[in-house]
Amino acid sequence: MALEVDRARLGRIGKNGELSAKAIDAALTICGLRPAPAEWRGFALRTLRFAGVLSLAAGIIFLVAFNWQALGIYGRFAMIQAPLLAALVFAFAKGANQLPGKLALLFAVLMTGAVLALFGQTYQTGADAYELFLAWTALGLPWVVASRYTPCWALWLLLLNLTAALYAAGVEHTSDDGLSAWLLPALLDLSTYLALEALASRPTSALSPRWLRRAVMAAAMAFGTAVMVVRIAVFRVSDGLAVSVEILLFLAASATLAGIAYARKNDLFALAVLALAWVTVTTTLIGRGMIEAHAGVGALFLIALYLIAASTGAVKAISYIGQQWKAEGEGG
Amino acid sequence: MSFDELYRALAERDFISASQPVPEPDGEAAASPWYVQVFVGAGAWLAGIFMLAFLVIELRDTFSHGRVGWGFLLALGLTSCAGASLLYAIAGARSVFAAQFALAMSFAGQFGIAFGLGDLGGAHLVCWGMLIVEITLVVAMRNHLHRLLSSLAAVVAWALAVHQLFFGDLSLNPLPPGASGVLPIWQLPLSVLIWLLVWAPVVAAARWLVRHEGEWMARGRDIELRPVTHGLIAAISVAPLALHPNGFWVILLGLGPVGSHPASPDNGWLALWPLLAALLALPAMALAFALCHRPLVGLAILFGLLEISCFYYVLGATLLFKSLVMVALGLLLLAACHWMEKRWA
Repeated sequence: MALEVDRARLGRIGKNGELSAKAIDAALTICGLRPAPAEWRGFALRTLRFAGVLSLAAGIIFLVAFNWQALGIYGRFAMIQAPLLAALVFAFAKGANQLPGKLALLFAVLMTGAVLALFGQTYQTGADAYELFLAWTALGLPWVVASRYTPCWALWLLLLNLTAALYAAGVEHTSDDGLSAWLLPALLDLSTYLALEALASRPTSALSPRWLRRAVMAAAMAFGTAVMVVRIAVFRVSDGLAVSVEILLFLAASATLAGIAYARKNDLFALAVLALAWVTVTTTLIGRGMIEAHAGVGALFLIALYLIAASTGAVKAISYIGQQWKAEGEGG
Repeated sequence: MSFDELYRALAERDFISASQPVPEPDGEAAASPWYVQVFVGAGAWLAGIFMLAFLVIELRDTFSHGRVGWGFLLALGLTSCAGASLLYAIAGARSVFAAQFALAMSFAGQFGIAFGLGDLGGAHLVCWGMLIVEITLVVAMRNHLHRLLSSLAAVVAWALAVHQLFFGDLSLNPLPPGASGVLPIWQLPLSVLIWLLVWAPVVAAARWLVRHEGEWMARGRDIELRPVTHGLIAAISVAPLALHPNGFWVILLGLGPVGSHPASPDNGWLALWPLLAALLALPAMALAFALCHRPLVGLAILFGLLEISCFYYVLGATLLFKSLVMVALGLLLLAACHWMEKRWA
């Protein structure tokens, strides 16, 4: 099969002096390695529109934080609810199939949070931070579903993660034994990732883009790895059962993610994330073991060597698997 | 598109003669995906810290009579960097382990040099010294990832050096209690001018590299200048954080003096700098888009959003003023978008 032109291969041809500067410039354009004028225009409009909507939303959120007492309660609520209503009317008029309508709904999701914050600020509800985010996540969902817009879903998933993380942070301080509360965001992200993978076969879905799945999966493994690292660092014999459950969950999550990646054979990202998670966990384990064994200064060098060897092995394995997948893809 | 098709297309447009043979480029693909490079970099960075700690503790008795002074640290750092450069040159291209070992050694060396310079002359010398070290490493290290990271680190060092020049509040030589560390710059034009003096050369360099990509590729400079281009674009997204007034991020990262407060109330117009940094994400995005490099576009978006949250936290202007600025900016951007859409329709 003929090799595809890419920048690295063009660069190697350039090194041999086979093409002039003008020819390489033309080659980059012909091969679609540089954006065409129409793509530049689309990029500029998307960027300006997105940045404009975010700036407006940030400006209104800053205003809520300013807590302008001189305005009075009605004035302050009107200041937030009027733009929210305007955004919804605009989205209804434009339709959620077009970018302006989608961005208006994104703006509405952000304004929902501002309204809730203003409500808490005005009436001193005494709610925990996670309750604010939980309400924001729940009340923002209709606009997110209506928008069918990936950045809007990403914002919503971020809110969901913040809710779970704030809840875990609160519970972790009050509970001294049992399972780590940080398993909640880990499991939530893992379930979300599985749902997103199931939806990935529908390329028109706003939830199908690869970057969204990657971000959710990375978040799941980040929380899972943090649970394992903390558990290894502060392990006590009395935690035996909780530790066993957490280890089993970590193993199951790793096996599931590796299994999905291997079944799909189209994205090595999951393997890189798993490698990073496992290198982190095993390094912590080795470090703890060496501290307990009073291994001395040499342990520092051994850990450094282990890190280099483990990451080298992982990179080689990922490259090998990538080549295998490519060969299988080309072989049909 | 295959090379056969490309050469036919180039011949049709008279860039090459129709008889020019189609080359047979090797099957080796581009550098590993960005996430593998992040993994490699993270592993080597951590290994570098452990390696430096081991070397310092192990060698101080032999060479430095048990005292860790600047001379010892500088010698250790320079030797490590030289060893890493040699390892890259000898075996880096053939062996992943050697390349990874060299990267860890180089990180250890850079930490050593930075600590040594800090011991010798404080934060001022660390920043300017590391700027020179990183530029030297871009030239000396024959490795894509290292060159990219060194280019990024050079711009971070440049931003930190200028920060230290203006504010003098970095953690290695904290100010006495009560001193704000802020120069009396209260005028908006001057504030913006200083900002431009710092960032215009970096953006100009990145833009020059992107515009002249074909020229340096034709001269066989792809191996050296590709990672530098990517490093500079990444730096335009990441490094403006280093220039923020009061170095509140230094304290947020836990690097500041114990008990210090993240901001003082007299930044004045300097409070606009995070907003300028958010706007700087736009050229970074455009440059990344020009290279069709989606991870760099994503990095610019991520740090643009982070800068807006920094704008919220930096003191010196009221939230009402910041709110008005953001609303005005939002309306301006939307109006510009509307105008461009009409013009291009």
